[in-house]
Amino acid sequence: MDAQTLARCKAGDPQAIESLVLEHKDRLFRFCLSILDDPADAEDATQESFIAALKALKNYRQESSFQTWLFSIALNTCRGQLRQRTRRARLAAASQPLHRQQAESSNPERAAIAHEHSHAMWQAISRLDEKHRLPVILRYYHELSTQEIAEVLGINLGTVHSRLSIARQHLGAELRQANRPKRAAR
Amino acid sequence: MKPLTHAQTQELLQLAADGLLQPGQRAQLDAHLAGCPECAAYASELDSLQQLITSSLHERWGQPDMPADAGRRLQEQALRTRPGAGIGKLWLLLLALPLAALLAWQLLAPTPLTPSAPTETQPASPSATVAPPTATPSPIPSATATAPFAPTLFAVPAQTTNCREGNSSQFDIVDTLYTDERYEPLGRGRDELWLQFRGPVSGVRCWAYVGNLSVLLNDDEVQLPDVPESILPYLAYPATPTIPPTPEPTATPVPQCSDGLDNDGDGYIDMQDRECSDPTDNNEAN
Repeated sequence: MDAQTLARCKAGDPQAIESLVLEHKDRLFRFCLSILDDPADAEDATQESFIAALKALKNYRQESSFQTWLFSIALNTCRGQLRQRTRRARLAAASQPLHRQQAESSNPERAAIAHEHSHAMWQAISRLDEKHRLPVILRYYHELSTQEIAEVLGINLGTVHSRLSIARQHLGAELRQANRPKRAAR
Repeated sequence: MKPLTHAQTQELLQLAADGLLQPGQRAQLDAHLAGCPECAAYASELDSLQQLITSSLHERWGQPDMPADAGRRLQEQALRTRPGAGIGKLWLLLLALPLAALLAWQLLAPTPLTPSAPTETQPASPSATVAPPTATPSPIPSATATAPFAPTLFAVPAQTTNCREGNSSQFDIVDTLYTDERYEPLGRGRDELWLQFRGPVSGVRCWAYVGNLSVLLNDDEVQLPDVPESILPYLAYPATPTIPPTPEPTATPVPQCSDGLDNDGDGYIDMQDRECSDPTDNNEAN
């Protein structure tokens, strides 16, 4: 996003705002989806985050990329949604993973070994706590650099590296653990 | 150049995974990997793990675009939104606060205040004691007068955050701010890097680093430097504690023949042991 388009957006130019939305909506939607893991919630969060970003556009100082700044706003929105989700339906949320797991296991494609590993990895990632899970998602799904992750999460570069290293060690260990009994059974 | 250990190599591989390797380190790493099957296996395992993480996340979510109807709704709403409207609210707040304060003062303090400056030198003018800063009396909007709204300012930690006696890790931790809870800051440092709170458990004033906190003004996230001083004052940091020098270890070892122990395990202690020639002898065994 070039400075000129941003300046036009700040001035309220509808064409510039339209191109800003077009350029960023899909990536922002994927970002929200990766945090909330629910397409409907992600739609709402994308909308809310974009409008919040537009309202706060004058605060954006171009110290980081516009996408990074947008992601940091969306992260806050998504955290708010997660808090509401937890408050609203603790019991429903508790039964949801079971339901999802059953639905997935009924799909024959999931039985393929490659899927099995990938699925086991997803399970391991989803079990990480937020401070380790978010850097993993930002690095390996959104392909952000460690510097960009630091800016989105508001932590320093060393902390990003340390969290990613710990997460990788943890995921590697979980995967080895998950593979062990299966090998013995074969 | 000193050869790398396995541990150093594995840390360099972790740095490489995060794109943080320095140019000189790459050659060093490659040289070690070429001759070390153990580290080469670690590198290969790390590579496979990263590929699996990537494929797993992409399999989970794919690369979906925002659904078309939701995209249209977003476009429409974005076009109705005035960019910078959040800041507009802030200016409104800045205008409303002094007006509300002035009105409240006039209502609550009907008797004129006596000036604290020497009264003899100034002409006694009752109207001057509560005169507004400008001579033109501007009418106060009735909405402001009837419903002055107090701004709400909160900090929300993104992770569990230490609250310390002062503005560095040299200060003791006196309380903890927990993830996603809302805490009301009392003030901030001039460098905009630390916020002061009342510790939720200890009740004492403590400082937390802003890097771990989101600042919400009337529920909108704001950058700390954009929060007006009238809402969050600047406060002085306490003096940095002086760390007492670590006491030197007293390096006067007690000789084995006077330490009260059976050092060689033969059942005889110190001078009872025939192997001790005198109390300064440092070998009970021979």
